[in-house]
Amino acid sequence: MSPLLAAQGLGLRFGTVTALDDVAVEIWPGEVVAIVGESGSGKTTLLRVLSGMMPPQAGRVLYRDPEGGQHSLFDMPEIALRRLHRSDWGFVYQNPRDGLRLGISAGGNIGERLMAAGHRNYGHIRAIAAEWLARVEIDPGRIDTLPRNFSGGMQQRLQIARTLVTSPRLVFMDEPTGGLDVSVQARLLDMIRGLVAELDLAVLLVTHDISAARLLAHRIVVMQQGRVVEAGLTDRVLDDPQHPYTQLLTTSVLSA
Amino acid sequence: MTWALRTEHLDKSFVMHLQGGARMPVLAAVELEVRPGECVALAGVSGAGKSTLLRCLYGNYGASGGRILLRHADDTVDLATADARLVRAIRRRTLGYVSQFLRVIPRVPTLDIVAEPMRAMGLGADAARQRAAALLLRLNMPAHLHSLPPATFSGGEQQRVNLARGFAPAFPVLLLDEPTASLDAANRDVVVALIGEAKRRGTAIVGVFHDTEVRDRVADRLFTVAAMDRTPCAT
Repeated sequence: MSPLLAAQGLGLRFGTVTALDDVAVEIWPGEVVAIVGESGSGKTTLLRVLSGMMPPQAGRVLYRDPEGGQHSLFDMPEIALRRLHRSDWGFVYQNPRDGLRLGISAGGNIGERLMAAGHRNYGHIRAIAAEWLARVEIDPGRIDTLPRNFSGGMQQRLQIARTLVTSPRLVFMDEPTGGLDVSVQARLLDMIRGLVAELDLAVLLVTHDISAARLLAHRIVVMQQGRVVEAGLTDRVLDDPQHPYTQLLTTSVLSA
Repeated sequence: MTWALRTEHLDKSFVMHLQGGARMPVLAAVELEVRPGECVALAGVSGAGKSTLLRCLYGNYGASGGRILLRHADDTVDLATADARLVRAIRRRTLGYVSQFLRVIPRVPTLDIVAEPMRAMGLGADAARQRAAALLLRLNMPAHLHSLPPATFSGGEQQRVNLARGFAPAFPVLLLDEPTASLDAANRDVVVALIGEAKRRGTAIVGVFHDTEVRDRVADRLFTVAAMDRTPCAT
Protein backbone atom coordinates (compact mmCIF):
# COMPACT_ATOMS: atom_id res chain seq x y z
CA MET A 1 0.00 0.00 0.00
CA SER A 2 1.15 3.55 -0.66
CA PRO A 3 -0.28 7.00 0.09
CA LEU A 4 -3.04 8.53 -2.06
CA LEU A 5 -1.32 11.86 -1.74
CA ALA A 6 2.18 12.71 -0.58
CA ALA A 7 3.64 16.21 -0.30
CA GLN A 8 7.21 17.12 0.51
CA GLY A 9 9.13 20.31 1.10
CA LEU A 10 6.19 22.61 0.39
CA GLY A 11 7.05 26.29 0.59
CA LEU A 12 4.97 29.36 -0.19
CA ARG A 13 5.31 33.04 0.72
CA PHE A 14 2.88 35.90 0.29
CA GLY A 15 5.14 38.96 0.34
CA THR A 16 6.83 38.87 3.73
CA VAL A 17 4.35 36.34 5.14
CA THR A 18 5.44 32.69 5.16
CA ALA A 19 2.33 30.62 4.47
CA LEU A 20 4.08 27.25 4.10
CA ASP A 21 7.56 26.42 5.32
CA ASP A 22 8.99 23.00 4.41
CA VAL A 23 5.70 21.17 4.95
CA ALA A 24 5.37 17.41 4.38
CA VAL A 25 2.05 15.53 4.58
CA GLU A 26 0.84 12.08 3.53
CA ILE A 27 -2.70 10.74 3.27
CA TRP A 28 -3.29 7.00 3.07
CA PRO A 29 -6.43 5.16 1.90
CA GLY A 30 -9.24 5.18 4.45
CA GLU A 31 -7.46 7.65 6.70
CA VAL A 32 -8.92 10.88 8.11
CA VAL A 33 -6.28 13.53 8.70
CA ALA A 34 -7.13 16.82 10.41
CA ILE A 35 -5.01 19.90 9.93
CA VAL A 36 -5.49 22.14 12.96
CA GLY A 37 -4.16 25.55 13.87
CA GLU A 38 -5.32 29.07 14.43
CA SER A 39 -6.31 31.55 11.70
CA GLY A 40 -3.26 32.46 9.66
CA SER A 41 -1.38 29.26 10.54
CA GLY A 42 -1.36 28.26 6.88
CA LYS A 43 -3.81 25.37 7.16
CA THR A 44 -6.20 26.60 4.46
CA THR A 45 -3.30 27.45 2.15
CA LEU A 46 -2.00 23.90 2.66
CA LEU A 47 -5.41 22.49 1.71
CA ARG A 48 -5.48 24.61 -1.44
CA VAL A 49 -2.00 23.45 -2.44
CA LEU A 50 -2.67 19.77 -1.70
CA SER A 51 -5.89 19.88 -3.73
CA GLY A 52 -4.11 21.42 -6.70
CA MET A 53 -5.85 24.79 -6.49
CA MET A 54 -2.71 26.77 -5.75
CA PRO A 55 0.84 25.91 -6.84
CA PRO A 56 3.56 26.07 -4.17
CA GLN A 57 6.83 27.93 -4.75
CA ALA A 58 8.82 24.96 -3.50
CA GLY A 59 8.25 21.24 -3.06
CA ARG A 60 5.96 18.81 -4.78
CA VAL A 61 2.71 16.92 -4.36
CA LEU A 62 2.40 13.36 -5.66
CA TYR A 63 -1.01 11.90 -6.42
CA ARG A 64 -1.59 8.18 -6.91
CA ASP A 65 -4.41 7.24 -9.30
CA PRO A 66 -6.67 4.19 -8.81
CA GLU A 67 -4.46 2.15 -11.16
CA GLY A 68 -1.40 2.92 -9.04
CA GLY A 69 0.19 5.47 -11.38
CA GLN A 70 2.02 8.38 -9.71
CA HIS A 71 1.45 11.94 -10.90
CA SER A 72 3.11 15.15 -9.87
CA LEU A 73 0.06 17.33 -9.27
CA PHE A 74 1.39 20.57 -10.69
CA ASP A 75 2.84 18.88 -13.77
CA MET A 76 -0.56 17.45 -14.70
CA PRO A 77 -2.42 19.14 -17.56
CA GLU A 78 -5.16 21.49 -16.32
CA ILE A 79 -7.83 19.31 -17.89
CA ALA A 80 -6.60 16.18 -16.07
CA LEU A 81 -6.64 18.04 -12.76
CA ARG A 82 -10.20 19.20 -13.39
CA ARG A 83 -11.20 15.64 -14.26
CA LEU A 84 -9.62 14.49 -11.00
CA HIS A 85 -11.80 16.95 -9.07
CA ARG A 86 -14.89 15.52 -10.74
CA SER A 87 -14.06 11.86 -10.14
CA ASP A 88 -11.47 10.56 -7.70
CA TRP A 89 -11.52 13.67 -5.49
CA GLY A 90 -14.13 15.77 -3.79
CA PHE A 91 -13.98 19.18 -2.11
CA VAL A 92 -16.35 20.38 0.59
CA TYR A 93 -16.20 24.15 1.09
CA GLN A 94 -16.82 25.93 4.36
CA ASN A 95 -19.50 28.03 2.69
CA PRO A 96 -21.91 25.67 0.90
CA ARG A 97 -22.62 28.47 -1.60
CA ASP A 98 -19.11 27.92 -2.98
CA GLY A 99 -19.76 24.23 -3.62
CA LEU A 100 -23.39 24.32 -4.72
CA ARG A 101 -25.29 25.91 -7.57
CA LEU A 102 -28.05 27.75 -5.78
CA GLY A 103 -30.10 28.35 -8.92
CA ILE A 104 -30.67 24.68 -9.73
CA SER A 105 -32.67 22.17 -7.70
CA ALA A 106 -31.28 20.00 -4.89
CA GLY A 107 -31.61 16.94 -7.12
CA GLY A 108 -29.97 18.84 -9.98
CA ASN A 109 -26.97 19.66 -7.79
CA ILE A 110 -26.38 15.97 -7.14
CA GLY A 111 -27.27 14.93 -10.71
CA GLU A 112 -24.92 17.47 -12.24
CA ARG A 113 -21.91 15.79 -10.70
CA LEU A 114 -23.14 12.38 -11.84
CA MET A 115 -23.56 13.68 -15.39
CA ALA A 116 -20.06 15.14 -15.27
CA ALA A 117 -18.91 11.64 -14.37
CA GLY A 118 -20.64 10.23 -17.44
CA HIS A 119 -24.11 9.19 -16.25
CA ARG A 120 -26.81 9.77 -18.89
CA ASN A 121 -30.05 8.03 -17.86
CA TYR A 122 -32.34 10.71 -16.35
CA GLY A 123 -34.51 8.32 -14.32
CA HIS A 124 -31.46 6.61 -12.90
CA ILE A 125 -29.78 9.90 -12.00
CA ARG A 126 -32.94 11.13 -10.25
CA ALA A 127 -33.21 7.89 -8.27
CA ILE A 128 -29.60 8.15 -7.11
CA ALA A 129 -30.12 11.82 -6.18
CA ALA A 130 -33.20 10.92 -4.09
CA GLU A 131 -31.27 8.15 -2.38
CA TRP A 132 -28.43 10.53 -1.51
CA LEU A 133 -30.80 13.18 -0.17
CA ALA A 134 -32.10 10.55 2.25
CA ARG A 135 -28.57 9.56 3.22
CA VAL A 136 -27.75 13.12 4.22
CA GLU A 137 -31.07 13.40 6.05
CA ILE A 138 -32.87 15.68 3.62
CA ASP A 139 -36.45 14.71 2.78
CA PRO A 140 -36.28 13.29 -0.78
CA GLY A 141 -39.62 15.05 -1.36
CA ARG A 142 -37.58 18.26 -1.60
CA ILE A 143 -35.62 17.03 -4.60
CA ASP A 144 -36.99 19.85 -6.77
CA THR A 145 -36.46 22.63 -4.19
CA LEU A 146 -33.77 25.22 -4.86
CA PRO A 147 -31.00 25.02 -2.24
CA ARG A 148 -31.20 28.76 -1.63
CA ASN A 149 -34.39 27.94 0.28
CA PHE A 150 -32.54 25.48 2.54
CA SER A 151 -31.10 26.26 5.98
CA GLY A 152 -27.30 26.50 6.31
CA GLY A 153 -27.08 23.00 7.79
CA MET A 154 -29.20 21.52 4.97
CA GLN A 155 -27.11 23.31 2.34
CA GLN A 156 -23.97 21.82 3.87
CA ARG A 157 -25.49 18.33 3.88
CA LEU A 158 -26.50 18.80 0.24
CA GLN A 159 -22.96 19.84 -0.63
CA ILE A 160 -21.69 16.65 1.01
CA ALA A 161 -24.17 14.54 -0.99
CA ARG A 162 -23.11 16.30 -4.20
CA THR A 163 -19.46 15.61 -3.37
CA LEU A 164 -19.78 11.98 -2.34
CA VAL A 165 -22.24 10.77 -5.01
CA THR A 166 -19.44 9.93 -7.46
CA SER A 167 -17.59 7.82 -4.84
CA PRO A 168 -14.36 9.80 -4.63
CA ARG A 169 -11.47 8.15 -2.78
CA LEU A 170 -10.13 11.38 -1.31
CA VAL A 171 -12.20 14.28 0.00
CA PHE A 172 -10.87 17.67 1.07
CA MET A 173 -12.94 19.54 3.65
CA ASP A 174 -12.38 23.16 4.63
CA GLU A 175 -14.03 23.92 8.01
CA PRO A 176 -17.15 21.97 7.00
CA THR A 177 -19.00 22.94 10.18
CA GLY A 178 -17.63 26.49 10.24
CA GLY A 179 -20.62 28.77 9.88
CA LEU A 180 -23.18 26.58 11.64
CA ASP A 181 -24.94 26.58 15.03
CA VAL A 182 -23.43 24.24 17.60
CA SER A 183 -26.42 21.86 17.58
CA VAL A 184 -26.30 21.69 13.78
CA GLN A 185 -22.53 21.14 13.91
CA ALA A 186 -22.86 18.04 16.10
CA ARG A 187 -25.38 16.48 13.75
CA LEU A 188 -23.28 17.23 10.69
CA LEU A 189 -20.06 15.94 12.25
CA ASP A 190 -21.80 12.77 13.24
CA MET A 191 -23.18 12.32 9.75
CA ILE A 192 -19.75 12.89 8.21
CA ARG A 193 -18.24 10.41 10.66
CA GLY A 194 -20.77 7.73 9.63
CA LEU A 195 -20.34 8.29 5.88
CA VAL A 196 -16.53 8.34 6.07
CA ALA A 197 -16.47 4.99 7.88
CA GLU A 198 -19.12 3.43 5.66
CA LEU A 199 -17.52 4.54 2.37
CA ASP A 200 -13.93 4.03 3.62
CA LEU A 201 -12.99 7.53 2.45
CA ALA A 202 -9.69 9.26 2.89
CA VAL A 203 -10.35 12.76 4.17
CA LEU A 204 -8.11 15.77 4.59
CA LEU A 205 -9.94 18.07 6.94
CA VAL A 206 -8.99 21.60 7.88
CA THR A 207 -10.50 22.79 11.14
CA HIS A 208 -9.83 25.02 14.11
CA ASP A 209 -12.32 22.94 16.13
CA ILE A 210 -10.32 20.53 18.30
CA SER A 211 -13.41 18.51 19.30
CA ALA A 212 -14.33 18.01 15.65
CA ALA A 213 -10.79 16.78 14.98
CA ARG A 214 -11.02 14.43 17.98
CA LEU A 215 -14.31 13.00 16.74
CA LEU A 216 -13.38 12.54 13.08
CA ALA A 217 -9.64 12.26 12.60
CA HIS A 218 -7.28 9.33 12.93
CA ARG A 219 -4.28 11.63 12.68
CA ILE A 220 -3.70 15.28 13.44
CA VAL A 221 -1.27 17.72 11.89
CA VAL A 222 -0.73 20.88 13.97
CA MET A 223 0.33 23.99 12.07
CA GLN A 224 1.70 27.26 13.34
CA GLN A 225 3.04 30.07 11.19
CA GLY A 226 3.28 27.90 8.10
CA ARG A 227 5.13 25.04 9.78
CA VAL A 228 4.01 21.61 10.94
CA VAL A 229 4.95 21.77 14.63
CA GLU A 230 3.51 18.41 15.65
CA ALA A 231 1.79 15.48 13.95
CA GLY A 232 0.61 12.04 14.97
CA LEU A 233 -2.15 9.85 16.32
CA THR A 234 -5.14 12.03 17.25
CA ASP A 235 -5.58 10.95 20.85
CA ARG A 236 -1.86 11.12 21.57
CA VAL A 237 -1.41 14.60 20.12
CA LEU A 238 -4.43 15.87 22.07
CA ASP A 239 -3.81 14.02 25.37
CA ASP A 240 -0.01 14.21 25.46
CA PRO A 241 0.91 17.26 23.35
CA GLN A 242 4.65 17.86 23.05
CA HIS A 243 5.02 21.20 21.32
CA PRO A 244 4.37 24.43 23.26
CA TYR A 245 1.83 25.57 20.67
CA THR A 246 -0.10 22.25 20.82
CA GLN A 247 -0.12 22.47 24.63
CA LEU A 248 -1.58 25.93 24.36
CA LEU A 249 -4.15 24.79 21.81
CA THR A 250 -5.33 21.78 23.85
CA THR A 251 -5.53 23.65 27.14
CA SER A 252 -7.53 26.45 25.54
CA VAL A 253 -10.57 24.24 24.95
CA LEU A 254 -12.90 22.70 27.47
CA SER A 255 -12.90 18.87 27.57
CA ALA A 256 -11.85 18.40 23.96
CA MET B 1 5.62 -17.60 23.52
CA THR B 2 6.89 -16.23 26.81
CA TRP B 3 5.32 -12.78 26.93
CA ALA B 4 2.61 -10.84 25.13
CA LEU B 5 3.60 -7.42 26.40
CA ARG B 6 6.90 -6.22 27.77
CA THR B 7 8.39 -2.87 28.64
CA GLU B 8 12.12 -2.26 28.69
CA HIS B 9 13.41 0.68 30.64
CA LEU B 10 10.26 2.68 30.00
CA ASP B 11 10.47 6.34 30.99
CA LYS B 12 7.74 8.93 30.97
CA SER B 13 7.99 12.55 31.89
CA PHE B 14 5.89 15.54 30.98
CA VAL B 15 7.40 18.79 29.82
CA MET B 16 5.06 21.63 30.63
CA HIS B 17 5.87 24.40 28.22
CA LEU B 18 3.18 26.68 29.63
CA GLN B 19 4.88 26.45 33.04
CA GLY B 20 8.25 27.62 31.83
CA GLY B 21 9.27 24.28 30.37
CA ALA B 22 9.41 22.44 33.69
CA ARG B 23 9.93 18.69 33.36
CA MET B 24 7.91 16.40 35.60
CA PRO B 25 9.15 12.80 35.72
CA VAL B 26 6.44 10.17 36.34
CA LEU B 27 7.85 6.80 35.28
CA ALA B 28 11.48 5.71 35.23
CA ALA B 29 12.97 2.48 33.98
CA VAL B 30 9.76 0.46 34.20
CA GLU B 31 10.38 -3.22 33.43
CA LEU B 32 7.03 -5.01 33.11
CA GLU B 33 6.40 -8.35 31.47
CA VAL B 34 2.97 -9.92 31.01
CA ARG B 35 2.44 -13.45 29.71
CA PRO B 36 -0.60 -14.61 27.73
CA GLY B 37 -3.37 -15.60 30.14
CA GLU B 38 -1.91 -13.56 32.97
CA CYS B 39 -3.57 -10.63 34.74
CA VAL B 40 -1.21 -8.11 36.32
CA ALA B 41 -2.65 -5.49 38.66
CA LEU B 42 -0.77 -2.23 38.94
CA ALA B 43 -0.21 -1.20 42.54
CA GLY B 44 1.22 1.94 44.07
CA VAL B 45 0.13 4.99 45.99
CA SER B 46 -2.26 7.46 44.46
CA GLY B 47 -0.31 9.59 42.00
CA ALA B 48 2.44 7.00 41.54
CA GLY B 49 1.69 6.84 37.82
CA LYS B 50 -0.47 3.71 37.43
CA SER B 51 -2.85 5.35 34.97
CA THR B 52 0.05 7.04 33.18
CA LEU B 53 1.68 3.63 32.69
CA LEU B 54 -1.59 2.21 31.38
CA ARG B 55 -1.95 5.11 28.93
CA CYS B 56 1.64 4.61 27.75
CA LEU B 57 0.91 0.92 27.17
CA TYR B 58 -1.99 1.94 24.92
CA GLY B 59 0.07 4.52 23.05
CA ASN B 60 -2.21 7.28 24.28
CA TYR B 61 0.80 8.87 26.00
CA GLY B 62 4.07 8.77 24.14
CA ALA B 63 7.02 7.12 25.89
CA SER B 64 9.91 9.46 26.72
CA GLY B 65 12.40 6.61 26.61
CA GLY B 66 12.67 2.83 26.48
CA ARG B 67 10.59 0.30 24.58
CA ILE B 68 7.06 -1.10 24.74
CA LEU B 69 7.12 -4.45 22.97
CA LEU B 70 3.99 -6.23 21.81
CA ARG B 71 3.33 -9.43 19.91
CA HIS B 72 1.27 -8.21 16.99
CA ALA B 73 0.29 -10.17 13.88
CA ASP B 74 3.09 -12.78 14.26
CA ASP B 75 5.61 -10.04 14.76
CA THR B 76 7.15 -8.06 17.58
CA VAL B 77 6.46 -4.34 17.44
CA ASP B 78 7.66 -1.44 19.58
CA LEU B 79 4.71 0.77 20.45
CA ALA B 80 7.08 3.47 21.70
CA THR B 81 8.39 4.13 18.19
CA ALA B 82 5.46 2.89 16.05
CA ASP B 83 4.00 5.52 13.71
CA ALA B 84 0.35 6.55 13.91
CA ARG B 85 -0.81 4.10 11.26
CA LEU B 86 0.89 1.14 12.94
CA VAL B 87 -0.56 2.13 16.33
CA ARG B 88 -4.01 2.14 14.72
CA ALA B 89 -3.42 -1.32 13.27
CA ILE B 90 -2.20 -2.59 16.65
CA ARG B 91 -5.31 -1.20 18.32
CA ARG B 92 -7.57 -2.76 15.70
CA ARG B 93 -6.15 -6.21 16.10
CA THR B 94 -4.09 -6.69 19.23
CA LEU B 95 -4.58 -4.10 21.92
CA GLY B 96 -7.79 -3.20 23.71
CA TYR B 97 -8.37 -0.56 26.38
CA VAL B 98 -11.28 -0.09 28.71
CA SER B 99 -11.19 3.44 30.01
CA GLN B 100 -13.02 4.53 33.09
CA PHE B 101 -15.29 6.87 31.20
CA LEU B 102 -17.02 6.48 27.89
CA ARG B 103 -16.26 9.15 25.33
CA VAL B 104 -19.76 9.48 23.99
CA ILE B 105 -20.25 9.77 20.25
CA PRO B 106 -23.47 11.68 19.60
CA ARG B 107 -26.33 9.79 17.97
CA VAL B 108 -24.58 6.43 17.59
CA PRO B 109 -26.65 3.61 19.15
CA THR B 110 -25.10 1.59 21.98
CA LEU B 111 -25.16 -1.62 19.96
CA ASP B 112 -23.10 -0.04 17.16
CA ILE B 113 -20.61 1.45 19.62
CA VAL B 114 -19.99 -2.02 21.02
CA ALA B 115 -19.98 -3.70 17.59
CA GLU B 116 -17.59 -1.18 16.00
CA PRO B 117 -14.22 -2.64 17.12
CA MET B 118 -15.37 -6.11 16.02
CA ARG B 119 -16.34 -4.71 12.62
CA ALA B 120 -12.92 -3.06 12.40
CA MET B 121 -11.36 -6.46 13.12
CA GLY B 122 -13.21 -7.84 10.10
CA LEU B 123 -16.24 -9.52 11.67
CA GLY B 124 -19.48 -9.32 9.64
CA ALA B 125 -22.13 -6.78 10.68
CA ASP B 126 -24.68 -9.34 11.89
CA ALA B 127 -22.19 -11.44 13.83
CA ALA B 128 -20.71 -8.32 15.45
CA ARG B 129 -24.14 -7.03 16.49
CA GLN B 130 -25.18 -10.41 17.84
CA ARG B 131 -22.07 -10.69 19.94
CA ALA B 132 -22.47 -7.10 21.10
CA ALA B 133 -26.07 -7.70 22.15
CA ALA B 134 -25.21 -10.89 24.02
CA LEU B 135 -22.43 -9.20 25.98
CA LEU B 136 -24.59 -6.17 26.80
CA LEU B 137 -27.33 -8.47 28.10
CA ARG B 138 -24.80 -10.33 30.20
CA LEU B 139 -23.77 -7.00 31.71
CA ASN B 140 -27.43 -6.44 32.59
CA MET B 141 -28.08 -3.86 29.88
CA PRO B 142 -31.63 -4.66 28.71
CA ALA B 143 -32.36 -4.88 24.99
CA HIS B 144 -34.42 -1.69 24.86
CA LEU B 145 -31.29 0.33 25.71
CA HIS B 146 -29.25 -1.15 22.85
CA SER B 147 -30.77 1.07 20.18
CA LEU B 148 -30.21 4.27 22.20
CA PRO B 149 -27.07 6.40 22.14
CA PRO B 150 -25.46 6.16 25.60
CA ALA B 151 -25.31 9.94 26.12
CA THR B 152 -28.17 9.87 28.63
CA PHE B 153 -27.06 6.70 30.43
CA SER B 154 -25.85 6.69 34.03
CA GLY B 155 -22.14 6.41 34.84
CA GLY B 156 -22.51 2.71 35.63
CA GLU B 157 -24.38 2.03 32.40
CA GLN B 158 -21.77 3.91 30.35
CA GLN B 159 -19.03 1.92 32.04
CA ARG B 160 -20.78 -1.31 31.06
CA VAL B 161 -21.01 -0.12 27.44
CA ASN B 162 -17.26 0.50 27.62
CA LEU B 163 -16.65 -2.94 29.11
CA ALA B 164 -18.73 -4.67 26.42
CA ARG B 165 -16.84 -2.71 23.75
CA GLY B 166 -13.47 -3.68 25.23
CA PHE B 167 -14.16 -7.37 25.93
CA ALA B 168 -16.21 -8.26 22.83
CA PRO B 169 -13.38 -8.35 20.25
CA ALA B 170 -11.21 -10.73 22.37
CA PHE B 171 -8.00 -8.73 21.94
CA PRO B 172 -4.79 -10.62 22.81
CA VAL B 173 -3.80 -7.79 25.16
CA LEU B 174 -6.31 -5.88 27.25
CA LEU B 175 -5.76 -2.84 29.46
CA LEU B 176 -8.33 -2.06 32.16
CA ASP B 177 -8.54 1.28 33.97
CA GLU B 178 -10.73 0.92 37.07
CA PRO B 179 -13.18 -1.36 35.25
CA THR B 180 -15.56 -1.77 38.19
CA ALA B 181 -15.44 1.75 39.64
CA SER B 182 -19.12 2.61 39.03
CA LEU B 183 -20.63 -0.88 39.22
CA ASP B 184 -22.85 -2.64 41.73
CA ALA B 185 -21.95 -6.04 43.22
CA ALA B 186 -23.82 -8.09 40.60
CA ASN B 187 -22.09 -6.36 37.69
CA ARG B 188 -18.73 -6.54 39.44
CA ASP B 189 -19.19 -10.32 39.48
CA VAL B 190 -19.88 -10.29 35.73
CA VAL B 191 -16.66 -8.35 35.14
CA VAL B 192 -14.67 -10.77 37.32
CA ALA B 193 -16.11 -13.65 35.25
CA LEU B 194 -15.28 -11.88 31.96
CA ILE B 195 -11.69 -11.34 33.09
CA GLY B 196 -11.44 -15.03 34.06
CA GLU B 197 -12.73 -16.13 30.65
CA ALA B 198 -10.36 -13.77 28.84
CA LYS B 199 -7.41 -15.19 30.79
CA ARG B 200 -8.40 -18.73 29.88
CA ARG B 201 -8.48 -17.62 26.21
CA GLY B 202 -4.90 -16.45 26.63
CA THR B 203 -5.47 -12.72 26.93
CA ALA B 204 -2.72 -10.79 28.69
CA ILE B 205 -4.33 -8.25 31.01
CA VAL B 206 -2.92 -5.21 32.79
CA GLY B 207 -5.27 -3.34 35.06
CA VAL B 208 -5.66 -0.64 37.65
CA PHE B 209 -8.18 -1.84 40.22
CA HIS B 210 -9.19 0.51 42.97
CA ASP B 211 -11.44 -2.20 44.40
CA THR B 212 -9.01 -4.52 46.24
CA GLU B 213 -11.57 -7.30 46.54
CA VAL B 214 -11.98 -7.43 42.75
CA ARG B 215 -8.23 -7.08 42.34
CA ASP B 216 -7.50 -10.07 44.57
CA ARG B 217 -10.04 -12.18 42.69
CA VAL B 218 -8.61 -11.52 39.22
CA ALA B 219 -4.92 -10.64 39.56
CA ASP B 220 -2.20 -13.26 39.30
CA ARG B 221 0.30 -10.82 40.70
CA LEU B 222 0.83 -7.19 41.58
CA PHE B 223 3.26 -4.87 39.86
CA THR B 224 4.21 -1.91 41.99
CA VAL B 225 4.65 1.40 40.24
CA ALA B 226 7.19 3.30 42.31
CA ALA B 227 6.26 6.86 43.15
CA MET B 228 8.86 9.33 41.96
CA ASP B 229 9.81 12.69 43.26
CA ARG B 230 7.66 14.74 40.93
CA THR B 231 9.16 18.06 41.82
CA PRO B 232 9.33 19.74 38.45
CA CYS B 233 12.82 20.62 37.43
CA ALA B 234 13.72 23.32 34.98
CA THR B 235 15.18 22.20 31.68
